[in-house]
Amino acid sequence: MNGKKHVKLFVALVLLVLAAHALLYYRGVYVPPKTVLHNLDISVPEAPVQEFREKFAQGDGMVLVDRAHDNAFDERNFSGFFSSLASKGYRVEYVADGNLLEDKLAEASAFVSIQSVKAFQEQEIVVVQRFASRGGRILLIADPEKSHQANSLATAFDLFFESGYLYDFGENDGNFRYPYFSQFAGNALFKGVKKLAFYIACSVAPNEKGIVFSSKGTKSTAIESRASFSPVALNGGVLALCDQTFLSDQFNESAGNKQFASNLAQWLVSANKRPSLRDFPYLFRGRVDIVYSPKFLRVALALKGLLDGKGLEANVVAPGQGQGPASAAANQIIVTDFGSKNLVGENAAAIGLTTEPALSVNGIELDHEGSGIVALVLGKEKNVLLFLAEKEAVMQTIITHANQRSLDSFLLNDGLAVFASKEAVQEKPQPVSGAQPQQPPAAQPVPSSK
Amino acid sequence: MENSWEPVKRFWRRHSLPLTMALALAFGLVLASYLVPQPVIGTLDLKAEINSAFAEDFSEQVRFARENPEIKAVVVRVNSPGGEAAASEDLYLSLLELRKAKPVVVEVEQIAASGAYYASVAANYVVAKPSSDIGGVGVISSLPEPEEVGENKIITGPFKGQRTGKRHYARQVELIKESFLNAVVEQRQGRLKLPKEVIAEAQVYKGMEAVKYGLVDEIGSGIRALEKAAELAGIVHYRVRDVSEWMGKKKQGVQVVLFVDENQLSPKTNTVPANYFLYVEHEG
Repeated sequence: MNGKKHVKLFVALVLLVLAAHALLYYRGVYVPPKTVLHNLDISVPEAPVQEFREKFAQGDGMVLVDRAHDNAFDERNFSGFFSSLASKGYRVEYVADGNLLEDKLAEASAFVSIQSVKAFQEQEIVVVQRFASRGGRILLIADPEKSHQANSLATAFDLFFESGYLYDFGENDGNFRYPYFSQFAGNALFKGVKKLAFYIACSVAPNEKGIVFSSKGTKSTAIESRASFSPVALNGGVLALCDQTFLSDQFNESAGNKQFASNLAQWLVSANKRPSLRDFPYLFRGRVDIVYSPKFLRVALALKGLLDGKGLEANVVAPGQGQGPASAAANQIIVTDFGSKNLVGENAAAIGLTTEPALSVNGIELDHEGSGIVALVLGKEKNVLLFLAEKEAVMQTIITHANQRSLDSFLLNDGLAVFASKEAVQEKPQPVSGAQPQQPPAAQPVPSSK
Repeated sequence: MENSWEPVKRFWRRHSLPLTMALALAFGLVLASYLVPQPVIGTLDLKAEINSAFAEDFSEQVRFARENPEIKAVVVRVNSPGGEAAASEDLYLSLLELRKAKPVVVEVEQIAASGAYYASVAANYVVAKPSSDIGGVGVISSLPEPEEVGENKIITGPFKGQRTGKRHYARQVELIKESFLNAVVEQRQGRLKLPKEVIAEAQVYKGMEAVKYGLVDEIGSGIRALEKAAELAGIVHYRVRDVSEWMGKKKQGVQVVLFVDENQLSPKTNTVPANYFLYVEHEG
């Protein structure tokens, strides 16, 4: 063999070895799949914000906000809602002690309880129920985000905040837990509202009381069997709403939330609470004239002091001046004896008071000397509160009972309380004062004529 | 005088053919070991809660695996509940780049949830155990709190210390989720059997369910993952090398955080929250 042939053989063998080596390890070639980056052209649609302008209105009243049940909310986040109330002339007050609930509700037109963490006690529930039964409006707000005991009160009004939360993957404000709602019952609460966005809301049962309804794609994490959910339900004057976030400042800008918050405020201040003697002295809006019989001047002055102490405008009007034109429209408190026909006037008929042949009211015969009557006569233009007794001591006793909200045992109805107790006269009554409520002297309840 | 090379020449003339062949074989073998080395399947570990430090280290290993000619395929061993959003996206993008050059197979051990699953969908093939936890396609975050106004701090815009408003932030989180969702749909195209809306529910599935729904490709062991990687690369008689050790990195005792209490998620600053692709365990 010559050299050239050797070289060729050498090269051929080397290549053969390389090929064999490659075949030992490699049986194919990697063909990468088509690799494209996923679509990043994403947008999250947003519902158009409804134009809203708060309407200012004349009003005078108070909305009481619950702070007595470890309520888990920060009022700083609710400035929009509270300013809506303010723009309607109402002020917001808080009650931090459940024992003061009745006192505070006496003055309030509406009661708002947001995310109560502590349960309402039986007595508190009775007080709130009584408030609602007289036309006071109640707004209960809970949020499934945090634990709450709102049902302790809601169930007293046949409403129930259900567990879980509502979600919608299609119709939402940027997150599946922020569903939109656009189906509403025909109610002034939704005037001007096209769409609402709630932020982690739960459903309120029963569905029949619902006034906001979910769309087809909205589901509940806890209730799979139902097709429709309602996060807002209304039963008489009690509104249960399961979402507090939509009222908060950063979230109330969405859709028609601001309009709804304003409508809610309007609904609260539109309460037409029927006055009750239990609400004394908050029975009147505006100025009140205290008209008295001469022998009750001291009582009348003390009563004025009491009303002044509560921030109520009161004037003591001398006998004979109370019926003047200037006072025609003013509410009146009449402090007099049973026989004072010129002061009691036609109100006697309104409360079923007769003095002849014997003293009786609503058909109940009373002892002339030891009895006292507190009566509220509601008129179209003015309300009249009557304190009737023969003796100053009895008069002081009945006013003290009224002031200390201990009339329950003496009430024939919301507008009439009757005291018939010689003991009440015998015991030295507490002076009428608005400063420190004191235990009133014992008095004998009168059996109801009903 | 006889040439001193004459015996050698005579020997060559007599035995030139076998000698040429022997030399060629020997040279060929030596040359082959350089030119055609035994292929290697590199292994990478994704066994931690994903954060930026981990992602940086992992990306370095991915780059090494891509540039090393001996490594013909990569198996990523995953056992992670996910972690920070951007770090998880970094892993996904790195593996996507690697896949263009070399086959990538993911072997799921106990869990590949959220951000770890995000990274996994970049692989050519995913192998899991029957009881592996897979999925959790979603984002977890917390809304930014308004910044407290301080007289001694000056900022140039209302969102400088807060990033953005709560509602806008929620929409941003939704964008991140949609991007994650699109990545799963795009990379698992043709295999995914669940509608996008269902995946968006962020459920975590067991391996056997995940195969049925197309979230992973096969139930199999680590050996099966290597075989699949070799098959995709077209190699046999391969070696398996841990990329981290090959790079001379000290193998750290990896602390695998499989479930994370959401209370452990803390924002990076007082007011600006971080986004997580993370499977969190809620307390009872």
